[in-house]
Amino acid sequence: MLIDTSTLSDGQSLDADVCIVGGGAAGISIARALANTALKVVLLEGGGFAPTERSQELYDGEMATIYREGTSRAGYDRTYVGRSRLRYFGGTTNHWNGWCRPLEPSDFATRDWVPRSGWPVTRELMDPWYAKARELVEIPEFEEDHGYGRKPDRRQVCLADNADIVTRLFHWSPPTRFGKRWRQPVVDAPNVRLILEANVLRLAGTEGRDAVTHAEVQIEDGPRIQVRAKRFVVSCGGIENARLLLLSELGGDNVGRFFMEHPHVSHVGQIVILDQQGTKGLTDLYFAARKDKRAGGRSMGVFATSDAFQKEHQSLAFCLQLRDRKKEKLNKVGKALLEVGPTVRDLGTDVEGHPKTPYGGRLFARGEQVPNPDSRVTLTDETDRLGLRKARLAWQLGDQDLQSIHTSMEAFARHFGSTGIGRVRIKLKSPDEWPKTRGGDHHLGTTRMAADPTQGVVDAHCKVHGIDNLYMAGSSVFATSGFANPTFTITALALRLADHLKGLP
Amino acid sequence: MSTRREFLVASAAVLGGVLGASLVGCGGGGDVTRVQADVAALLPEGAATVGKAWKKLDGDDDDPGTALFDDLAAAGVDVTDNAALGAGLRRLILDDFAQRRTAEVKGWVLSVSECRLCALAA
Repeated sequence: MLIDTSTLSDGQSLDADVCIVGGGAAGISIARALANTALKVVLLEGGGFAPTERSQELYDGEMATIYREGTSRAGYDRTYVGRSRLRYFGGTTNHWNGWCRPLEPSDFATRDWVPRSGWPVTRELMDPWYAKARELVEIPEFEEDHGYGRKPDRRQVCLADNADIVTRLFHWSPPTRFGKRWRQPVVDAPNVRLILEANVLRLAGTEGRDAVTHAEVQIEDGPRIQVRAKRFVVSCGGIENARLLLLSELGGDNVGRFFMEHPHVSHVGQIVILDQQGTKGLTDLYFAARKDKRAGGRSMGVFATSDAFQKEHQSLAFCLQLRDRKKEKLNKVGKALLEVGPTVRDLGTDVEGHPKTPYGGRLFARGEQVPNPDSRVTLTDETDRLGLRKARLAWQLGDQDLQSIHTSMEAFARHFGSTGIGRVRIKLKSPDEWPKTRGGDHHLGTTRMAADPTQGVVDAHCKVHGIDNLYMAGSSVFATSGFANPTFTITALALRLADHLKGLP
Repeated sequence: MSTRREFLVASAAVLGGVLGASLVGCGGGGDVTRVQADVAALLPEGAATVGKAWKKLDGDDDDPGTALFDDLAAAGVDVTDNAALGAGLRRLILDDFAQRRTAEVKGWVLSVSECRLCALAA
């Protein structure tokens, strides 16, 4: 039920079995899973059902991206902290693009060349929750089938995997806007009280900091109330989860550390496609990013480095996407390669000045970064209008992250050559100079999952180490990032947590 | 000895890479020098661009044609047989990528053998 906040009064205390702080993908998934159970649930959402500047400004913070130690790039996209997330019901799913893919089994495993890698859960353990999450993100059964979701008359040629390079599929969610799509089941549930415009100021702990007693909540233009609950779930997103724990002085020294993004290099290279055998299929499957989505296609192939390659070269998870670019400009050698290659038709778009192909395209890379304790969310001395210290994000990338991009790109170039598909231009500079890099608005790892409390914030059940009744949900619990977009995994983890909560006395 | 038509089909079908289709119509057999000249004459203009860019790199061969055809001979390719030449070039180029015998020419990762081939036209 939706609570009319005008009925609340200053100092009022609400009681619940579970108090969920934050109504994004994770919070809504948990509320929906707990709907119509015997549990009394309060779901606190900072915004309303629609975006407002007044609510969004509470996400403003400071950005200090440092690519490599000693080469500060502070000032890089100063708006990132504020604009990369959304503060209203549905959270950041309100601008989600819909990419779905589970993390790879190897992403959950300990890799001895990746510091602090390894989750205390396995992909096998997560598989049933991924299966359940499909309903929430509205994708059909996730099949490793290259013909998935496509018209039967369309070719689905996929490059054969080899020892170094494999094809991996993303599936498209519509994308599901959780705040609209799943609002009604939450509002209709008699055991769930949804309170909008409920700004959580802090979580109050017991004297020994081993349990949370209540949440202090300032209703927008309304009273200040408390929510007391047996258990609290914080699901405000990767930056805000850390901020709330820091403001509440809960969770220990690892809170806010290990911030990870998926480094996106949108101009990592170019490709001239030459091989007539594979290109129609490549167009269908790999060039599906925009065109096919609009046409109702539901899957897209990317190239990824294999587990064996990563192990041999001590590299990180990495994927490469082909993007069709009608105006992709090639240098002299690139144009010459077009000229000497065989004519390839039927590709849909052309390179400027070369109207009937071969085809030039852009390569877009997305990688993993090593969990780094110095890449972190902290608090500034500046406060917002509620008097809460703002978040400061220092996203820091390291040498291994950059080296991995180089190593992986060289492998892709060899792969396209050895399969005869085409030739690749690597547009990276020196091995120690970062190319223009941005993130995917993915905020990961700030309350990371680790069996060892010294290495993380939450345990395998997303419970904060040392605090009996506090759980974290969302991308902040990711121990490592893989290359896949996080929403699907966020949802799967949230459903698993909800199931755990249901089973507690 | 294959016919010109056979060479066209063989090279276009099996090379399938940068230069395969360009070699169609290469003249029939003869000695290596003549074959090199025939191939060079058939390469499109763009090959010269690639070849020149490659030759500017440090460590390029003094005589790329000889180096290329030596490799073909070492691989047991009868370069006077057009079909064998097309297949041999294809194998050489694919092997180059597999064995990391590549060069970065203006950013493009190319097989050393295809660079040498292009250099014939440069």
